[in-house]
Amino acid sequence: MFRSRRNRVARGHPDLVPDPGWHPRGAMGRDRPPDPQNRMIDLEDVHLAFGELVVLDGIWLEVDRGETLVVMGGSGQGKSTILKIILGLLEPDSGRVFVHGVDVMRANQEVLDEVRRNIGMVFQGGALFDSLTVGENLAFRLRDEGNHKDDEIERLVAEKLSFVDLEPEVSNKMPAELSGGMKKRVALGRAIMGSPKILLYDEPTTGLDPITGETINVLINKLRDQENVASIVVTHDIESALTVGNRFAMLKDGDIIFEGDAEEIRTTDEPYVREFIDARMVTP
Amino acid sequence: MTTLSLTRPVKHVLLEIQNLTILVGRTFSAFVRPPLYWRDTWVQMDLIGVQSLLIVGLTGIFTGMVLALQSAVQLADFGATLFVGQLVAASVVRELGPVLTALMVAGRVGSGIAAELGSMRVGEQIDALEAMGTDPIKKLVKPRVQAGIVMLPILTICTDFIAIVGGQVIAWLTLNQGASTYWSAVWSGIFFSDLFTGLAKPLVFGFLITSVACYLGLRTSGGTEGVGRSTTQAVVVSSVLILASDFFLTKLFIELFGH
Repeated sequence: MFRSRRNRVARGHPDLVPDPGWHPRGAMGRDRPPDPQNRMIDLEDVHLAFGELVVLDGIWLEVDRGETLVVMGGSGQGKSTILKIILGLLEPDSGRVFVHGVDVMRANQEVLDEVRRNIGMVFQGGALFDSLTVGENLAFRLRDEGNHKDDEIERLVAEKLSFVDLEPEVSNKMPAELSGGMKKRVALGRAIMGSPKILLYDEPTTGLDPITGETINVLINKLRDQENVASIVVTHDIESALTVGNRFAMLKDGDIIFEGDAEEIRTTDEPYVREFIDARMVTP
Repeated sequence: MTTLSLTRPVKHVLLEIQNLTILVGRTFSAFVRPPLYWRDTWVQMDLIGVQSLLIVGLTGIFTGMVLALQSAVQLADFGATLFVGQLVAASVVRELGPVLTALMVAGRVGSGIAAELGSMRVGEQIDALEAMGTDPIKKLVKPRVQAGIVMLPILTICTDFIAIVGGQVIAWLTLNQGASTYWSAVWSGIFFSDLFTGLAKPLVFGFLITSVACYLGLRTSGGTEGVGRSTTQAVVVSSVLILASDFFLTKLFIELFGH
């Protein structure tokens, strides 16, 4: 999953010396053998700064097929930046980024477009095309690829609308006519068009009421269980995180300060993580 | 210290020019590299061209009428009112038609493109496009630039014709000049070089307006305030570029045709 400072040691980083807590099988002592067939996302020692501001300071990250990794952290800690780097929308200053084995940073535009067609992204505000209807938004990716007949696209649009629990009539509405929760569901429906192998979620439940948020959580789990997709969920909604994630990471000051499963994050003594979880659990 | 404070804005301007040049290069490459998005180009031709007809029509008729009025007064002193049509036609076809049409389109279309693309940028819709493997240059910029290059000359022809007709109305009302007299003066005032100049300029202007608006729209940042800033900049920068390029194009065509 993540190899922060300790794992950099494992890879022979010359400036770092192993600390007593380091475990040869990976950080936190978990057994994570390399699995090239199932490895969908691999970030190696990624650094990114905007001028003087260091956003990512040597991030190591791996996500396998059928796994949902939740990246948490306060605002402005670089969570969404990680997603943009995976998509190739932002180029890191150094490090390497592999998506399904393809080196995103060295890929030409055609290869990068092909990589992106295997990724579905749910943006924080939905990012629906406001000049297109809901149906056209959902159909966009398939129409753009030009390999599908109209009736097939219409069938898939109806199928995805049903998957995200929306009525077929919604297809003719404009994004401006939708509520926040409906927009998120349409964005999710659009992201899964073309059956991508990787799904990235940027704050999928932020700004939604608890019931709508739970609906989104159920859909995220349904996609993981039914489609076996690799997912990264960026959020600071701890309730949602614990519902959808099977692995967790906490980002602070450009580095990953914690990684672990649900049990480990609930019982961790790491002060920042503890403070973050307790505050979020108490704050409505 | 002074040198440092001077080099920063110069570097900034050079960087903007470099980025615009890269965008233009990628746009021209998108002209021939599929997908070509003809449907989007068609939609943009309607938005940029057909929907600008009213505004350029109004610009044309009032420009022609003012020109005829002014020239009638001046030419009357020399007893040369027969040349009103010639003066109106030459002024409109060579200079006023292309420049005024371009300025009106820059105000209407350039601001619209910058606002639309700027809103898409701050609303992450451009990122969403890229995330789906769609090149925003091919999908958004190329159709607009292509439509601008095609529609500006057509709009200019409309402006020119309406302006000359406006001049005829004034010539008839103030000088009691017949249509045949007016139009024969018009034809005697227009040469091939005028037609060439009058159509080549809007081609360049159409390219400038749309590419600058697309560039400023795509590099928008800072939320709704940023969208407003990009919109204003699009109109200001393209208007200045229209006037500056008009000077250089006029100079070039004078060198080429000798008048």
